[in-house]
Amino acid sequence: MNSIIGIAVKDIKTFFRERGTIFWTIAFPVMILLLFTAIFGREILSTQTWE
Amino acid sequence: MIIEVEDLVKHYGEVKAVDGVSFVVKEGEIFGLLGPNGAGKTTLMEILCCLRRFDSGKATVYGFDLAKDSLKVRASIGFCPQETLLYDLLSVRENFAFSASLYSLDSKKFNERVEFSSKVLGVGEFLNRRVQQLSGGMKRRANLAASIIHDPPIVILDEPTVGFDPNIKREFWELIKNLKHYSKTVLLSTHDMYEADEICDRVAIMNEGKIVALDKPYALKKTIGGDDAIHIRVKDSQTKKAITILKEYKTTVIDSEIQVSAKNPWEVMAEVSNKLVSQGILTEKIEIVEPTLEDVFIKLAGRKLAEES
Amino acid sequence: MGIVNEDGQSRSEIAISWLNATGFLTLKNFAQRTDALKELNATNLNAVLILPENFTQNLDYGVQTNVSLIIDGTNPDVARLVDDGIRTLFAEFYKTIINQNYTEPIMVNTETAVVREAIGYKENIVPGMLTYPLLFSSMVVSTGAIVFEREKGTLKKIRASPIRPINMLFGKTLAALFQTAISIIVMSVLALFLLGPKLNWNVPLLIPIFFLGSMNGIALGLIISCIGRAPQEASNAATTIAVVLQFFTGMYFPIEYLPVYMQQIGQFIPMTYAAQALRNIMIRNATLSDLVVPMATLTVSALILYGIGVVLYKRWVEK
Repeated sequence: MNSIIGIAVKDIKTFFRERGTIFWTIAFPVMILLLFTAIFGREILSTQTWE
Repeated sequence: MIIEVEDLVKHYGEVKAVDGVSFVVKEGEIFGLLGPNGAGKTTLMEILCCLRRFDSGKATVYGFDLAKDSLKVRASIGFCPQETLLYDLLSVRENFAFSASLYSLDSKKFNERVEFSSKVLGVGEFLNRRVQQLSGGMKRRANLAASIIHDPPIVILDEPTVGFDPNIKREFWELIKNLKHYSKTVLLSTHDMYEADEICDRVAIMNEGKIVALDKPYALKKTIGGDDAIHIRVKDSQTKKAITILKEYKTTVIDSEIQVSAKNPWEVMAEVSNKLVSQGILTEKIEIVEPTLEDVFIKLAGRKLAEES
Repeated sequence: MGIVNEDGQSRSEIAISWLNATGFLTLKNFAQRTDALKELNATNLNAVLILPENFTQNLDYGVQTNVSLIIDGTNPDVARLVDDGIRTLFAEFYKTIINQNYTEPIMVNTETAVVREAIGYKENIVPGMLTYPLLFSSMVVSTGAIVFEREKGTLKKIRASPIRPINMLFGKTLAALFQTAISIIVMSVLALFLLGPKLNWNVPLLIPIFFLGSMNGIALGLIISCIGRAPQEASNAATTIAVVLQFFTGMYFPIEYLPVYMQQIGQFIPMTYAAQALRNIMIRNATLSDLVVPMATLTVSALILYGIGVVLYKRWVEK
């Protein structure tokens, strides 16, 4: 196996087995996404017409 | 000569970590660097593995010049440092695969080598377990196996058994000695005189960056270690009396044992024994002790190998 | 802003020169309402101002006159800003030119044009949050990966093997790219199922933006991991920088929402261009020709940062 691929495979395997990294790279941003949508989503959804 | 080192010098600022070291290692031998911590063993090994640069001198490994052909030098060495360099979250086999990829091993050769590691180094039983689940001894075996997964002609081991309990140490010595049968040349460093004595074909004694003696362990002990000693233990109350009886010999008392050094130990032991018995002193223990590499080191450097012993 | 001057008399000309003088909007004149509205629809204009036929006449006689302002409502903040600006301007204009006693004879009728389907917050935040993996994970991953290797001592093992230092860097880069891709895919799928935003998933255009953005993140991470003296130091620095930078890049809100000074800082962060490009693709159906500038910017910064990273890394490895 090529050394570049070898290092990449090793890193990726380690990445998927580390719960902390998975949380920070996937779970956390999805949570933020849902949270921010819940907070700000409603207000801007309606288009406004004002005098 | 499989490793040739000539007048190698390495400074760390003002400190000369390696100070004009020269030696050769022959093919197929186990060559030991014996010395206390800070003698320059690790630095010397790391230079040979192309992990550090050196200031002056010349060295070739497997016929390749260290300064010019570092990639070829690295390819011919399996380096096993003191620390366990395995990835905890990967299985032993995955760690092997990673190491193998660094040396561009094809899968056929890789499988052969995994087979070898299982049989010779005994890693078969935990091949598919994650490193974090292994015991200390298993980790060290896997570590050694990973560092020689590419079947290098030269194996460099830095303090291979430091911190091991005695049983595992013995087991490991057997593994290392076994490597000779697979036509490997081994260069190892240690501050354990028994280890050097037990497994090395030749030993270089290092102190403060210099090699102060280099020979077979037996020869070192004979030529530098001095005479054999007779260790005698008697009842504590009789020790003083015993010393007076033996005043014609060179005696020293260490840990309430009387030590008599002698060129012809067997005769002296008989004499000493008779004298003590005739004066009514019973010996609890009397034995001949050969000089150790520790004694050799003390003679050469004026201090002990390890602080704790 | 487009101007349709149906009056064409002295007072309306003065009003337009006032607008010009503010420098707050770039003006473009149209003869026909329909032409101006067409441009507004094509998002080439932010707003259209219509000065009616009898603008000058009505003002001369002190009769109330109606001015129409049609604003693109895609971005509510911009819309509000334009609306307020125009109202203030006409009030000032009347006081100065016509009569001190302002009784609002110029009525500004504002309409927010629903230029296309309303863009909701979720449509804005989903592309924004897709820059998170570019900024955060690729950074943490690359710093983490290299710093970790040194901390664990396994760097020794890699360096003792016959691979060139640069190959390790490429391996790390490859892994980081893969991890970023996975995190983008997972986030996209989850966002799609959980929020169902109406977005244009133009994958062939998104991939190069993600790739370039990720390379920028990796390069930044690489630089930090080579500068940091202690592993912990590098890791902390990377996290801090990622946390701070995310507010300037328009991740949570489009960059136009941010205060001007923040927008200016954001201009120096490559991820800002990635975030904008993603929104342009996913919300405004941008095509390749619209993306030349952000793509070029991202490519150039990726090349520069990665180049610096490689130099620092080589020096660092030899230490």
